[in-house]
Formats: sequence, C-alpha cells, structure tokens
Amino acid sequence: MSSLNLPAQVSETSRSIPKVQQFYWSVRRELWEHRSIYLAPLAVAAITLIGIFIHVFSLPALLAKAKPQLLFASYSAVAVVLMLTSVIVGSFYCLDALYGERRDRTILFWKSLPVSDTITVLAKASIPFVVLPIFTFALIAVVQLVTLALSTIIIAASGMSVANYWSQLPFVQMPKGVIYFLFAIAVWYAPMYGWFLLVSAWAQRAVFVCAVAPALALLAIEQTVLGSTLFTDVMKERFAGVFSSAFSRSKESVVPDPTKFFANHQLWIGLAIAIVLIYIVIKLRRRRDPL
Amino acid sequence: MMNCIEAHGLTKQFAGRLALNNVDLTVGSGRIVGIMGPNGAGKTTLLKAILGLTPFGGELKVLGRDPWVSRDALMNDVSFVADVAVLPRWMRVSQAIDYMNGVHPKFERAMAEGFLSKTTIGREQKVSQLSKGMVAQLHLALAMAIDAKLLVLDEPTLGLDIAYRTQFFESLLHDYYDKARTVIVSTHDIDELQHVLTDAVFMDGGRVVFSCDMTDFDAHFHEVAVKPSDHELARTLNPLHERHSFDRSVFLYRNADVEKLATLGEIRTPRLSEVYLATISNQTLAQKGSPK
Repeated sequence: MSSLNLPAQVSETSRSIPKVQQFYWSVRRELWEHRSIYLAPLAVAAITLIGIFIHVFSLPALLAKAKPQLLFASYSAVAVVLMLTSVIVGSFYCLDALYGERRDRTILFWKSLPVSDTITVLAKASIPFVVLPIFTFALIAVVQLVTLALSTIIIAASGMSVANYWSQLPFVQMPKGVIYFLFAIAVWYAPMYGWFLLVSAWAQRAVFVCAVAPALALLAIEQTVLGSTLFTDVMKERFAGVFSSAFSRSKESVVPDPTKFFANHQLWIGLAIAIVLIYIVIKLRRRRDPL
Repeated sequence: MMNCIEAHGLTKQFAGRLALNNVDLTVGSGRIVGIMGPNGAGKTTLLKAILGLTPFGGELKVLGRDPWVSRDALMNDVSFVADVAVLPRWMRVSQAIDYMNGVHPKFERAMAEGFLSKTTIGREQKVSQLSKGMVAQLHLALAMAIDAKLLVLDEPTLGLDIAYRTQFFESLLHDYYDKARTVIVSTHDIDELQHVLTDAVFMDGGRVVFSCDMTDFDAHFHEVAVKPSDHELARTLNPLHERHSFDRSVFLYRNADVEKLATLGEIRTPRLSEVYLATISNQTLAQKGSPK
C-alpha cells in the first residue's frame, strides 16, 4: 500500500475555486497552446525595429527640413503595423480556437474538468478582445520608446537640438490614440471575431474556407444575380471603415472622434451580432465532439 | 446510500442507428465496473452520456445529477481518463499540474507530484515527448490526484504493452481505490481485469446483454471438459456455450447443478473472456437466427 493513499476525509477539505480563477487559468492555457498570439507580434515588432534602425539615420536631414508629420511618421507606422498584425493574429486564433481542440481530441480532456463551456468560450473570446489589444499596446509602447531612444541618440550625435525634436513629438496624444484605436478595432471587428469563433466551433473541416466562402458567395450572388450592393456596402464599411468611423480629420491631422464612433448605429449592430454569435458558440461547444 | 449511476431506458441515436438501445444500469458506490463489448457496442457512448458529453434519451443520474444539464458541476466529483490520445501534446507536465490545480477544487498537487515521482516522467517534458505508456501514467496520475467519487476510464490501456497495463491497474487499485470511490472502466483486456472488477457488464448492439457480480462469479459460472461420449448428456444441462478442442469439448454453464456437472468431468471456474465470448456469440446467433 502506498504512503500516498490519503484517507477519505480529504474530500471535506476541498477548496472552492472562484470562476474568475478558472477563467484566468483558461486564458493562460490558450497562451500556452497558441504561442503565435505573442510570438507573431513579437516577430513583426522585431522586423519593424530593423526598419526603424535603418530609417533613423535620415532623421537629422528630416529635422533640418522641419517637417513635423514626417518626424513622427515612423511612430505611427509602428502602431499601424502592429495593430494590423493583432487583427490578423486574432482572426487566425479565432478560427483555430474551437476547431483545434476537436481536431486533436483534447476537448475530451478539457471537458473532463469542472470548467463550464461559458468560461471556456469567454476565455477564448478574451484573446482577440482583451489580451491581444493590451499586449499590442505594450508592444507598440516598447517599440516606440526604442525608436525614441535611437532617434535621440542620432540627433544628439549629429549635434542638433534634442529638445527641439522632443517638443514636436505627440507624447500624450500618441498613446491615447493607440489605446483608442485598439479599442475601436476590437469593438468594430467584434462580429468578425464572433463569426470566426462560430465557424471554428461548427465546421467539420476546412475552417478557413467555411469562414470566408459564405461571405464571398453572398457578394458574388448579390452583384451578379440581385444587382444590389447592400451586402457589399456593409462588408466594405466593416472591413475598411474602422479608421473613418473612429477618427475625424482636423486641419492637417486626424484625431480620435469617440462621439461620432459611439453614435454610429453600425457599431452597436455589430456588437449585438457578436454577442449573439458568442452565445451560440457557448451552446455549440456543449454539443461538440472530437472530429 | 445513493447509487453512483442510475440509468433507465437510456437511448442514443446516431445517424439512424441506436448506439444505446434502452440501457438500464445501476452502479452502487464503491463498485469497480468493467464494461466490455465488441467495437461499436455502445461502450464509449454510454461513458460519454455518463460524463455529460452527449445528450441522450431516457433517464440518467450520475451522483444524483443529470450529466447533460450539469456537466461542469458534476466534474467536481468525477475524473476521466480516455485512451492515451486526449492529453494536449503541447502541454508540459508542469503546466498540466498547474492548470489542474488552478481549475479543479479537488485536485491535490502534492498527490499528483507523488505519483509522478514514482515514474520517469520529467516535470519539464511535453506530452509529445512522452511514450504512449508514459502519457497513460501521466493521465492516470492527474486523474488519481482528484479526490473524485467516480473515476471513468475509457479503454485507458489501449495500445499499451502488458507491463504498462498491469502497472496501470495495480496503481489504480493500490494508490487510489477505496470503498468510497466508484470506478467504471471500458476495456478489451477482459481477463486482466477479471480479479479487479466487482461487476462485469457486457454490451452488444447498444444493449446490456449480460451483467454479473464478480464477487461470486465462481459460484455461478462453471466449465467442464467433457468426453465426446458424454456430449449429449452435457447438452441437457443447458450449457451457455460449448467450445470444441481436439479430444473433448468444454461446456460452459451458468447456475447449473454442480453435482450433475461433477459427473461429466472436472469442474473449473471459467475465465471471464470465456463467458464474454459465449455471450457475444450467442447474441450474434440470436440476431442472425431471428427473422428480421
């Protein structure tokens, strides 16, 4: 008999585990499994930094011409590239999130633990809605700070005024704008993430095709048979319209316009659709088997 | 005491075929029940219904709960080991322990680590780096570290060699099982489990075709090797099955008159697999024999 054979009264002392803790560990296991969530943005950030490193040597020349927009163009470029990366990473993550666990049969293991389908699905949904935006913000901040450090060194070395350079940089507007834009992207693309999660939970094979084909088919049918542009316009607005919905032009720059953004009924319709889709995903996962 | 599992008229249809056909099953607390049957007999479907992984028709209560309605609550008291393929291959052993510790109120980290220290499994190894037998050991260690009331094993030793199989069930009995726990296991390794089980259940075609209490198996089942001259006499005693070998036939009996059997030859206790083969082949004969 093993010394590890604990007496039966151990059951009396069992802990109780808050749902928040189960959610936390569910998110952690997503990060263990899908390492591309942080590796892909890190790789893109590294490549961006190489670009910055080359670009930074032309700074003194730019500064001499005194074109402020160009001075912080590299900071904006960093932010846009990493935000775009987070949307792509989030999309591919969503497509695999509920398909992968069925494909490799691990759903049987996950479901053998006292974690509800609701917690599991919400933890998965939190990746594109919460984890990726926060991580992307941190990454953008780091890359921008490295850019700032490099620029400062180059400018100082070329004997120009560091104070002059710093005075032209949007130290407050930039991080505020990045946070706002990341938030806007998350809520604007919510129905897309919801749809990808749904397909991931539902499809028996070829998840990517299942996710994209219906939309392409609808577009084709609308344009060839129906001759209308309703669906086409909705899709165009959804995929290309996040920037124009969330920002407004003022003088020579663009500024965040939350008032316009929150007044846009399209935003709320999209969010409502996303909530319905995620609710369906929770119900679907309950019935899902390994493939 | 409440029964651990109570199923009445349990039915499940898959693509027009009955995977479970009106199954009645009662499992009391503290039993070790083996579920055996040919592939496609409905064993896995039954276990999935018990685990709340699939909806079903009929009535099923596990530890007093409807598993389909409250799977997550039920899993506080149930642990499950499937064949070796369900642990995530990307997972490190330490991650598996951390995760279980994080989500399961009845998981004892120290116990899991104790079980693993008896194996050669390293804490930083990934599941994908472990052999099949080691994955089974790992999964069993994780499952045994849960202070569950019911342990469900779905062909846990499938594809393992005999050393691992033996070790698997030995540690299950010695390190885990006590009278407060119930174990339900589906398996093909019938004879290896004969002396482990308290109950044997045979399934075929989605139905329970046989069940018996193993604690008095030898009082109910007998087999006798009979000379050819006595075959007719042996057949009058209602054998379950006869099996021909080169010079005599072995007749298998359930609840026969032991004194009469003694006149035919030496009485032995059959292996469970003999009873299984007799039951399943009779079942097949009955299905073929009956019109439609």
